[in-house]
Amino acid sequence: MGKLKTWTVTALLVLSLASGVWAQQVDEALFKKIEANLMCTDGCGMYLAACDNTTAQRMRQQLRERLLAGDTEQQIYAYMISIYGEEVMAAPPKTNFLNITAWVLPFLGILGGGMVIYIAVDKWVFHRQGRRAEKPDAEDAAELAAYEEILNAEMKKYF
Amino acid sequence: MADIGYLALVLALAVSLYSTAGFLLGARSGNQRLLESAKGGILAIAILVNVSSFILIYFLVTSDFSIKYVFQYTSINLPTFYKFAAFWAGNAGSLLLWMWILSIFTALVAFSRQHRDDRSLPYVNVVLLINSIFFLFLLVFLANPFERTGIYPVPTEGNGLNPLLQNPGMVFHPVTLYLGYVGFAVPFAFAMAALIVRNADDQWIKVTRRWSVVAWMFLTLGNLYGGQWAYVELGWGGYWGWDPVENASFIPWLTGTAFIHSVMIQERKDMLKTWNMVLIIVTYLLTIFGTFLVRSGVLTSVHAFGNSSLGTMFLVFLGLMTAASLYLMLDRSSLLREGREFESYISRESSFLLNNLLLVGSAFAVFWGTIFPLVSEAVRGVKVTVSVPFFNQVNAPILLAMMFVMGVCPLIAWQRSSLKNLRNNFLWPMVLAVLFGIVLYVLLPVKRFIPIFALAVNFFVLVTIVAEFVRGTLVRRRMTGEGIPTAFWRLVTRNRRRYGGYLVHLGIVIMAFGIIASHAYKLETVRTVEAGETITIGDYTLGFNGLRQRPEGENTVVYADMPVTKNGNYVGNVMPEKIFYATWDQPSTEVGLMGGLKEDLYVILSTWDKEGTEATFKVNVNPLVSWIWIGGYLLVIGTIFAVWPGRGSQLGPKYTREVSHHG
Repeated sequence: MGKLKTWTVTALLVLSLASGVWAQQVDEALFKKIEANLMCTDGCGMYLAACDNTTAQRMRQQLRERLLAGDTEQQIYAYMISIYGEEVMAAPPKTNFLNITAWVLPFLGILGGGMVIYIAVDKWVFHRQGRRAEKPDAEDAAELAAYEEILNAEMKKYF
Repeated sequence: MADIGYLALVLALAVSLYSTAGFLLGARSGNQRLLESAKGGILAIAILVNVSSFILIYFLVTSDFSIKYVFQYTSINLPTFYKFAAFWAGNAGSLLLWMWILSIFTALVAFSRQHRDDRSLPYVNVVLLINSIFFLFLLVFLANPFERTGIYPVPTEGNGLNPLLQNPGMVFHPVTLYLGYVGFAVPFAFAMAALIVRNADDQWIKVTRRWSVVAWMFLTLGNLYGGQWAYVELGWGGYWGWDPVENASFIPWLTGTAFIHSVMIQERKDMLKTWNMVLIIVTYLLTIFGTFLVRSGVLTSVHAFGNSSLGTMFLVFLGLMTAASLYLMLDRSSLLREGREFESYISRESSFLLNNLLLVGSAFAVFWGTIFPLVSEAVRGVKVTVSVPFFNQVNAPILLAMMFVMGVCPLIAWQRSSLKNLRNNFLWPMVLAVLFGIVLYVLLPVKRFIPIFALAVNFFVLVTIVAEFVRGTLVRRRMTGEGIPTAFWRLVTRNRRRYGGYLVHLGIVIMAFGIIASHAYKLETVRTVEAGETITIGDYTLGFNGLRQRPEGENTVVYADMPVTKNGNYVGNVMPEKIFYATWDQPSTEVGLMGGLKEDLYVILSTWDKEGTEATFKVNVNPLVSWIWIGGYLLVIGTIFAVWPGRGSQLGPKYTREVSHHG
C-alpha cells in the first residue's frame, strides 16, 4: 500500500512535471502563424508581428497562454474576436458575405476586365481580317500596284 | 520676416487667380499680351513660393521658436540636416513642399521652348494653376507655415522632431514621393488641355513622355526610400507593412506603370485613346487621394499626420477635379474615336493589354483593401482591419502573373506573333527556369513550392531580358561585323529608349528576387539572454556581454555591443540601440544591422531587466534584402538612360500602312 502510494505520487509528479515541460513548449510555427493574422489592439495601427509595444507583448503572452491551455487556432481567433472585436483580425474573416467580397472582388474584377479585353481584341482582329478580305482601299490598291510592279521587275531580273 | 513669407503665399494665390483668368481670356480672345502677362504670372508665382520656402528653411535652421511650425517640429540641438528636413515633418510644411515643386514644374512647362507652339499650352497652364490655387488656398487659410506660437517670451526650446523621422530615408522619402506625385500632374494637365482644345492625337503623350517616366521613377524611389526607412527605423524586420499611407503611394505607382506602358500602344497604333485618358486621370486623382489619406486621418495609420479640416477640403477638391475631368472626357468622347485593328491575338500589343489589366487589377485590389474598413463600417456597422495577410495573399498572385507577362513580352513581336514563333522563343527560357527551380528545390533547406515557383518565374523573366540583350548584340554583330563590346554598346546607346526600358525591367526583377526571398526564407527568433550567453540563428552566433550606456548630445543611448561569429569565424560586431531623447517621450529603436549581398543580420534590442545584465533581442536573418535596393538603383539608371535627351531616346516611327501591310 505504502509503495503504491509512493508510486502514485511519483507517477503523478512525473506526469505533472512532464506535462509542465511539454506544455512550456508552444508550437512556435503555429504561434507565428496566429501572430501574423492578428493586429495590435491599442490603436497603433500596426500588425501584431511587427509591433513591440506593451499591448503587443501582452497579446503575445495571451496567445501563448491559450496555446498552452490547448486551444486550437480557430478557438484562439474566436477568443480574440470575443475580446477585441473583428478588428483584431489582420484580414477580414471569411465569415459573412461582405467580408468574402473583400477577398473575391479583385479577382472578379480582373476576370471581368480580361473578358472585356478578349472581346475587344477579338473584334479588332475580326475587323482587321474583314477589312483586308473585302475591300482594300484606294491607298492600299495603289501601294499594292507599286509593290507588284517592283516584284515583277525583280522576277524578270532573276528568273 | 514671417510676414514676408506669408505675404508671398497670399500674393502667389492672387497671381495664380490672375494668371488663370489671363490664360482663359487670352486663349479665347487670342490676346497675345494677356497670355504673355499670365505667363509672367507663373514665373512670379514660382519666385514667390521659392521666397516663402527659403524663409521657412531660414526659420527652421536658425531655430526661431516664435514660429509655431519651427517650435512644433524642431529643437535647438537637432542637427542642421534634420532641421532642414523638418520642412516636411508636418502638414503645413508638406503642403508648402508640394506647392514648391508644383510652382517650379509649372514654370518649367510654361517656359519650355519645346511647348512654344503648342496651342493647348494656355490650358495646360490653367490646369496646373488650378492645383496651385488649391494648395495656396490651403496654405493661406488653413495651414499657414508661418503662424506664430503667440507665446511670450519666445520659447527657448522647441518640441523636437519625432525621432522616427530623424533618418536619411525620411529625408528623401517625402521629397522623391512628391516629385513623383506632382510630376504626374503635368501629363494630366496636357491630357486635359488636349481635350479642351479638341486635339485628340497623341501630341500630349509625346510631349509628356519624359515627365511621366521621370515622375514614375521618383514615385518608385519614394516608395523605396519609404521601405528602406521602415526597415532600419521602425525595427520590426520588414520594409513594407501595407499601411494605408504606403498603399496610397503604391496605388498611383501601379496605375502610373500601366499608363507609361499603354501610351506606347497609342503612339504606335492610335488605339486606347480613351483608356490612356482614364489612366492618367485616375493616376492624377490618386496622387491627390494619397495626399488626402495622409492628411485626413480617415484611416488609422502608422505615419499619418492626423485629423484636420484639411481632409474635407481635399475631398472637395478631389470631387471637383473628378467631375471636371470626367465631364471633359465624356463630352469629347467623339474625339477619342480610335483605330480598331489588331493584327493578331498574340502580339506585343496584347501583352501590353494584359499588363494593364493586371496592374490596374492590383491597383484596384490595394485600393479596395484600403477602403474596405470604411465600407464594412458603413454596411455592417462592424469595424474590420485589412492588413498584411490580405494584401499579400491577394496581390502576390496578381503581381507574379504580372512578372510573367513582363518576361513573355520581349518574346512576342509587335503586331503579330505566331504560336510557333512563340514556342521557339519560349523553349530555352522555360527550360532554364524549370532547371533553376529544381536546383533551388534541391539546395534550399525549406522546400516550399510557392516561393520556389515564384523564384523560377522570376528567373524566367531574367533570362528573357538577358536574352534580348544577347540576341540584339549578336544580330548587330552579324550585320555590321563589329566586335561584341562595340556591337553591344552601339545596340543599347542607339536604342536607349528600348534598352533603358529593359534595364528598368531588370531592376524590377532584381527587386522581386529580394522581395520573394526575404519574405519566404527569413529566419526569426526572440530570445531573452543573460550576460555571457549567446544567441544562435542560422549560421550566426551572437554574444551578449550586458548592456551599456553612453550619452549622445542631450540624448542617452542604451546599446549592446555584440560580437558575431558566422560558422565559427568572427565577422564583426552589431550594435542594436535604444535611444532616449531629451525632447521626446518615446525612445526609438536603432537596428543593429550587418548587411551583405546574401543576407542581412538584423538585431533589435527589445527590453531589458536586472540593470542591463538580462535583455531580450529579436534577431532576424533576412535574405537578399540588399537586392531590393540594388534593383531600385538599376531602375533609376535605366530610366535616366532611356529618357536622356538626344539620339536613341525617341521611339521609332509609327506604323505606316506600308510597314503594316508588307513589313
